Amino acid sequence: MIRLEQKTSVMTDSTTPAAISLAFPGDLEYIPAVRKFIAEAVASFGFNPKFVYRCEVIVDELCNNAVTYGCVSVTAAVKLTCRLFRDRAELAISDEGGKKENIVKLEQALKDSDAADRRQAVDKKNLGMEIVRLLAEKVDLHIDETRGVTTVKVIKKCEETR
Amino acid sequence: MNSSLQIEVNPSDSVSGATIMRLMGALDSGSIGALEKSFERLTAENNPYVIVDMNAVSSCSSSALGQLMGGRTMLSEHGGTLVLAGMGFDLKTKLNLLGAHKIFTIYSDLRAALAAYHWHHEHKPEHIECSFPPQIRLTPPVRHFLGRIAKLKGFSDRDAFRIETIVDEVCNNAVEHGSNSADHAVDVAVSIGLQKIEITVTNINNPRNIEYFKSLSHNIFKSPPPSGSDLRGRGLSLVKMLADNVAFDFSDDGTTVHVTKKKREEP
Amino acid sequence: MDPQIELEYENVKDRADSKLVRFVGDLDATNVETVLEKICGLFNEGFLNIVADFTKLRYVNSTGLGILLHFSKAAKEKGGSFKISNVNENVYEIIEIIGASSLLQIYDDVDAAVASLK
Repeated sequence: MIRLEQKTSVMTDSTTPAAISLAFPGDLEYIPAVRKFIAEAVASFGFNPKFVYRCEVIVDELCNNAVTYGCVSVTAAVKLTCRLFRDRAELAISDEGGKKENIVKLEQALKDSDAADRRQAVDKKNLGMEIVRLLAEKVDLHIDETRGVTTVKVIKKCEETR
Repeated sequence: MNSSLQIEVNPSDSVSGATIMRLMGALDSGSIGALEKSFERLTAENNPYVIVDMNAVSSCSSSALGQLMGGRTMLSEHGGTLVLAGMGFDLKTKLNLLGAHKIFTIYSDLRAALAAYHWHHEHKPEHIECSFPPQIRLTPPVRHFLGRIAKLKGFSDRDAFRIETIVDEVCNNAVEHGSNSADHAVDVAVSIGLQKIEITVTNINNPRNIEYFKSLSHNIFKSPPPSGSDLRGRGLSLVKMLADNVAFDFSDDGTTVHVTKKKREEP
Repeated sequence: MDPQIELEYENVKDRADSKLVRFVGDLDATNVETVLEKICGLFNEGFLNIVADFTKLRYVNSTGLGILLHFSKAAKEKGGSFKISNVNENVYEIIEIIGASSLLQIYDDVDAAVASLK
């Protein structure tokens, strides 16, 4: 019988994250499975249920945005990475970029907003990115025009120590 | 009667066999004649898949919806399919209240309609890739994820459960026997088509377990399954029983397990 | 395809114009249309007041929130109401942070929502 080695633990300190990545077709139908996968993965590291739920919402909204506005070609894929540190999750979602006007809209949606802007978001039914902005500690947009890739990077901190 | 409706018909430049009928303006009783002519031409040309892109349609009357239904019937009598795509929220709500969703397949946008044709009619599989650190706690999320995807793509509950079991066993094997370095991820690549799913799991080998991986391709074909304490060997025998094909690719660096599972039952 | 959400219906005692609807599961972009069709169907059948029980609604996202606001508006336009009860903490947080709690009629439980019907 072969002796199994003791596994070294990932995430023993805040600098060694557990990195999970995923690529899936740019179709809405995949998103429920994707957000539940990330939620289960986050939960498996012992994060509290509220943090897990917020991560699920953020992943859902970012994926919906990527599929709806950032996937153009028939074989378009959405790429997602989730890096889990002891005290936070860092998420990155990339798509093909889509139309220029949609990228401009995304830039605007991610700017700081006040209550009036929020009401406008409700009126325009443009709630998704507003929810991400309000739930996360940091949201950045990266546009790589040469490769035609748009990436939204999000940092979500966990208030409670696990 | 005059109509503000404009109609553009073009073959898709990305998916061969698909035709896009783009409508712009108001779909009202005045547009019926023009619509009918377009459908007659599309039917005469034997177009197999017509997507009516409604993204620029401002309104649609019940008589115009009736004409779209007529177009759908005309095409289907000649073996073709007509689907709708790209309707805004208000228009879709209105047409659904008129029963459009019971007659038509409706896609959120043109891309989704083209992707569906690509998958259903052209039998092009879709691809999913996932990589995770070699930690046993992550195999349940991975197997649940792929079980859900299998159901989503038309595998029965039973087949989806079998797929879940296959993913679980192969991933557990990779995690337990593969490299335990956090930098050496387990990679899962999935190709899912109308009739089958192909799952490829790759891990970096742990030099201490090299003999184990060498023995895999031999052990897996043992019959009956290995007994006693060799639980992992039993796990892979289970994979062999559940799958239609299992293949191993071993090198000194890494091991790849490739599993094919065909759709057995309709959901 | 897994619809992820089920709606269960119950009559409201002494209120022929009202219906209790239990939401079970997750409400998101993949199923809002089904829910929309069913709830608008109830409005069209003459049920002007809908009391939604969210006890078993695990999850809602921005698209789901969008149709809840739509139901609220559509009910008001017809002279009725769309009332929500038993909202779990996670779902409530999403409604609240976007500032939609003041736009929706939210009650602690079904009894309170029914008692508020005009």
